[in-house]
Amino acid sequence: MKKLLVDLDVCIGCTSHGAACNRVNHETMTFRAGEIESVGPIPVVCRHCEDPACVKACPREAMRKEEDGTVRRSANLCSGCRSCVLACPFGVLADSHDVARTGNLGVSDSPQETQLLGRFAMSKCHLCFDRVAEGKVPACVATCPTGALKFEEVPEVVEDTKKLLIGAHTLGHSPYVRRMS
Amino acid sequence: MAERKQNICTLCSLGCGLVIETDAGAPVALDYCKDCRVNEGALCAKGNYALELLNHPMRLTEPIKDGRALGWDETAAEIAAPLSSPTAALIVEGDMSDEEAGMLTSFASACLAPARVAVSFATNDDDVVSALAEIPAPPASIEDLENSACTIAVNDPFSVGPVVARWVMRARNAARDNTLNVIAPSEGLVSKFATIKLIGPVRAGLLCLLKNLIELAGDSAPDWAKATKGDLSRIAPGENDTDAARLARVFAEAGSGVILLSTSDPVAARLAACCSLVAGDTKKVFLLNDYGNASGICENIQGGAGVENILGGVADGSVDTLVVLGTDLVSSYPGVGVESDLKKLKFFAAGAPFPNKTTALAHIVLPTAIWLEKDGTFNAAARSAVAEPAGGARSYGDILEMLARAMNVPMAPAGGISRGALELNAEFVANLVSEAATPAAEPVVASTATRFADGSVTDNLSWPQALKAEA
Repeated sequence: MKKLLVDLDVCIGCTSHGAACNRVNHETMTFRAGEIESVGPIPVVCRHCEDPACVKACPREAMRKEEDGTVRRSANLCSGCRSCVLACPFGVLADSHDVARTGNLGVSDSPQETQLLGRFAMSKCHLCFDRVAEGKVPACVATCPTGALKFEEVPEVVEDTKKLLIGAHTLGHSPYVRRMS
Repeated sequence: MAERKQNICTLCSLGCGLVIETDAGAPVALDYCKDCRVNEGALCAKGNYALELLNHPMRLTEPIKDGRALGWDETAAEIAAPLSSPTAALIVEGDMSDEEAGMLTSFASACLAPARVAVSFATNDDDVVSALAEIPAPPASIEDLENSACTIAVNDPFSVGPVVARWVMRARNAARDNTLNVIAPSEGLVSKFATIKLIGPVRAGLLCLLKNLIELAGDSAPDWAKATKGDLSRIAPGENDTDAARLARVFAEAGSGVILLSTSDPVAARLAACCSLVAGDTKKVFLLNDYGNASGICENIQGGAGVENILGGVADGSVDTLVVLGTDLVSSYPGVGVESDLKKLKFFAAGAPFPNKTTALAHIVLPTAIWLEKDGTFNAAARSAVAEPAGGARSYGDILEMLARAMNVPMAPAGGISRGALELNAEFVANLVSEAATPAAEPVVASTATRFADGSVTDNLSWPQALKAEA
């Protein structure tokens, strides 16, 4: 499965990815701002875990692990109970109140309706599955000014480029963040 | 029928390519333009919202007077009479095409005294462009940035145009000895990646760099540089000197180098150009500023007063009729009492794509087009509009033509103006050095990744609002 990678050697922390995600998906909190001490800023994004804690924690089955490997949220089923926020080991998922303030989840054309739904749904990266189905890359990757965000098969990247991985200890169990050696 | 129309972003001077998809003429989607050499598809936060600028529900769509919509002919007639007065003035925002700049010159000579017309660049981009045009330092291209062995960023260009980081970081990471360095008043996005940092006043940093470059060049330094050596040793401050000496050595010895300049201070721009000239033929200057077409406008504008002079006239009563196209004067020139002065005007018409603090004070409000809705030359290449202007909005060029017609004045076509570079001499550089010894004024408008030049446009978009909500 292709996943998002952040090349810390070129990530300048400009937040353009957030603007692209907001534009394409009407989601605002799919990326959280992170910082690795003495390394620099990084966007923290859903890892689409193989065994996702958010899916297990969701009492309404709003979080699902799809066949293509992505973990997606159903805006209609989500009640904004924050179980997934508490369960996520990486602190990626957004608090529903943050979403409610921005009030736009793109689930309806009606501003009033989206505002209402926004109060009851979590913001969640779905890896732009619709763009990927059209042969494009996720919007955050396409827009990334420096090319720091990549959408690649993770195992191949590890084997082919022999990068030093720092994800294992500092950011979680999966090697989604790498630093050029 | 669906169509893909390529254009560029003019929300900074880099000129990133983007694609607007239209359906039956209406803009429906924005796509990334991978074929564009400048950005290879990448866009920063500002560029991502080009489509929202076109379709935004808050766009002004018709001329309004006292809450009542007017037709354009009626509006032109309403403005033409007061604009004919000798106490009238016109200010136009610096987001024009080259053709519109030429038309403004022509309009100014036909309809108004030259001292009554000004182009507004809130971040002094016109002064910086003119300063660089004076000194024959070679301008750098994207290829030069990508192949630069030593890049010196002045201020924080990554926050003005994040896409420029694509090339700078690629150059920095291409070889072990390549370096990215910074001269800036404070830490920013660039300084996190910088090898040598001169953090402090920018003029002082550049003076130190120039002094050390002249010392390194020795006998091979140009005559004007040798003649200024004494002045520089006396003036250039001592702090940061070790780092400046290191930076000068790295820059001078590098096979290729670029000074990536993002500043509102023309003195700093001249100093940077002098540094590149002393460091050798392979050292160039790349200017990244807030206004996308500042260079093109400066080449096509002749004469004219500064906005400050016209605002001074408004304050002392010598200007009692004002027409403003595109500029949010209240936001762009804060702290000088503009808002209260504008209220004193006998007649005031203000045009903008979005309602702002200045249009709120106007007797007549005009809807203006944004660059994507205009045909014309931006960043030295001809562009076609991707969509019709929203509602009844008009470009500055159309509005000037309508006004000239209503004033019964024929407008002659205006040609470009060629400005030669100066022959650098010791006196010019000595004056520059003594000027640089004084601290620079603070920039009027601070740039951030989500702010349009005068701050009045992108604040209405959903991403800046989301950021505000998050904060």
